[in-house]
Amino acid sequence: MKKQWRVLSIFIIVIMVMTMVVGCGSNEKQTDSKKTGDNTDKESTSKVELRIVTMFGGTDPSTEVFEQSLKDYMDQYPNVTIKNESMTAVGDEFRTKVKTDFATGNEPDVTFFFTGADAVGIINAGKVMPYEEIWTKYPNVGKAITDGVKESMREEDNKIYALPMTGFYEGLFVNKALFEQHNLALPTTWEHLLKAVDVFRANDIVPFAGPIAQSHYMIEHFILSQAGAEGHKDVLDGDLPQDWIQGLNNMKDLYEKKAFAADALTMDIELAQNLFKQEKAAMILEGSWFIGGCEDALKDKMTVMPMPVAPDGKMDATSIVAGYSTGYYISRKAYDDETKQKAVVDLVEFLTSADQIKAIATANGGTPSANVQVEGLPALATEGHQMAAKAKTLNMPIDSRLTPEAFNYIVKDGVPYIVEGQRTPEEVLKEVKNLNQ
Amino acid sequence: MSFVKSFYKTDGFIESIFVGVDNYKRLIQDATIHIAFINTFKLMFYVCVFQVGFGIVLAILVDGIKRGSKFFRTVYFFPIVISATAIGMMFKLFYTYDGGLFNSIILMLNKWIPWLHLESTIWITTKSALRMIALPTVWQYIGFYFVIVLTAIKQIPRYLYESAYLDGINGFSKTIYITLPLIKNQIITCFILAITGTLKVFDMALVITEGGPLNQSQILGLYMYQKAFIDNRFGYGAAISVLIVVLGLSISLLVNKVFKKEDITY
Repeated sequence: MKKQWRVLSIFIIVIMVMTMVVGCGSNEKQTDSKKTGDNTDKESTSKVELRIVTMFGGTDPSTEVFEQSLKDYMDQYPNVTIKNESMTAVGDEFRTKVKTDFATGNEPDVTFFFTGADAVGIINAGKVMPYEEIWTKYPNVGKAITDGVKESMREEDNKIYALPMTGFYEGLFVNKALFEQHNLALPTTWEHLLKAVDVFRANDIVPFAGPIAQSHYMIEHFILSQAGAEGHKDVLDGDLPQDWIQGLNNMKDLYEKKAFAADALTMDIELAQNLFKQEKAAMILEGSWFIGGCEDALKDKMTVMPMPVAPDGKMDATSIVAGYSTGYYISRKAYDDETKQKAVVDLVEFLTSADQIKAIATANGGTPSANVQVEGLPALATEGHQMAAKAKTLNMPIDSRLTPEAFNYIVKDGVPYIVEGQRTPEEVLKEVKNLNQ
Repeated sequence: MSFVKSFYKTDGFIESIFVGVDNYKRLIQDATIHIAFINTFKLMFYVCVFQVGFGIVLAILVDGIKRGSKFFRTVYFFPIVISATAIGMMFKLFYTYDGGLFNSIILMLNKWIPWLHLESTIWITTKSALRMIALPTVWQYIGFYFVIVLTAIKQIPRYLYESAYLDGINGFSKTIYITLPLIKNQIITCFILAITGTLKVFDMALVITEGGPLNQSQILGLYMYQKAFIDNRFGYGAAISVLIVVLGLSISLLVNKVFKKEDITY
């Protein structure tokens, strides 16, 4: 038995010595290549594998363009392999994946994620790099992005952690053809909106494709149309805002007027979008990314406009919800890793170049973060850009100011109960205020 | 780990404040937890009665046939290998009001038989939502219990049946007086597996209803997931998971006590 142990110990020691010799040999080789002063840096650098997670995946209109960008990058830098774990941001799964990855120490090297309330935990934990620190060594990262846009990305600590590609706007997307067919004026005023609801309902067309249980966009717009830009920015730290209460009641009024689909209480965003895309619904509140998912024939029939001002509403008729709420984050873990630092910075520099921003803006119809001319945009996207340019105020969404739990309470435990008359907006907002503290 | 976390207010990242038993106090006052608690028990009932029940009935029927038992075993077992998410998505598309399978069939029937005046139905309502989740949940795992029970039946020595036949027993009496008593232990195991399995269900509910409408199909597993991973309240989510574990252990012990296992030797 003793003899067996001795043989085994010798065997293990031999293997360990051999491993060390092989390891040292490899280092020597690298040093040699450096000594030769070979200028082909990209080829001489050792292989690097980067992990990237973005929302340009699945059904997102930018998926194809983004995947091509990664291929182009890998062609340019053959020593870098990119593991792309992107998925669509529709629903909560994307947020959950990113937050779980960061929480478990499995953060991607580069992440395209939301700013504001969603990123607070990641930033406070020091898991992502402030670009101010990166720019001292690599000043060209995100150079194409305009200064104004960069400034809008500053977080509470006055630092920039994310570099955006495109901005977004939200608005009321309308099927003009259906309005013309029924001799209706476009819903530029609340009266026109109510008239359209009555006529479409009488003609078996769903007036509003609005998912009550996933009413994120509806909450934004009904509150904005009633409270105006200033009131919309309320973070519920004082008295309950009366305009918010009225805004939620306006939603209930429309629900009672059967402005939404018969199954609005249970449908999700995708089903609501399908109703609009199949021209079974005349209006939908959506974001600029919605354009990319519509057929060209439908785009020609559509227009986008601000939500009409509610009766006695404080909103300026041009006000919209818009801004830059997503961007590329570089994880501190990847930046501190000397073998990855250069590759990860190069990747973000490549992805935030003017050409890449233009390509993504063309695909998703968003407002480019760089000074680039996006050509070949459908008329609808141009209308959207004009709407954003004309807007007197641009507000970031409410969920960028409330905690996820507080905002989700309005979405899941608020609006469905309010429209069904089982809770009042006052009760809901009181609870939201508690949860937001 | 979850037990420790349940005493903190934490978002799962850096924010972690010790709050004592606050999460448990909230658990008692939370109206949604009450709904989820009751719904989980309702789902347990559906699972025990229909999932295990059909599993037993199908196993007895398949045991009685001379040919094709392998075919039925494969067919009944097949849904288990499909992911719950895929099954959930399939049923969601069945239930969809506009263009869903069920309503498409109704509209087609209405064309053929107009005097029936059939109309599209909203399948998921506040009253029906839980049953709409129970349907695919029950269907998916019937095969699992079917295989367990069938294997148990096959263990029963044939001579017991042969001597009973000589005494003039018929098929129904054979099942009641010989088969079922002899596989009692396996049936109890099936009940325990079904009950503890119900506490883990969340994917089917997430895909089909997300707990709605108005939380009427909320169940403990799903609520825990939503609080921890969607609302970023990991502390409260951990308290719910502690409740689930305690509930699972208590019910398993109770079932074991009520239906005492007996040593059956052939």
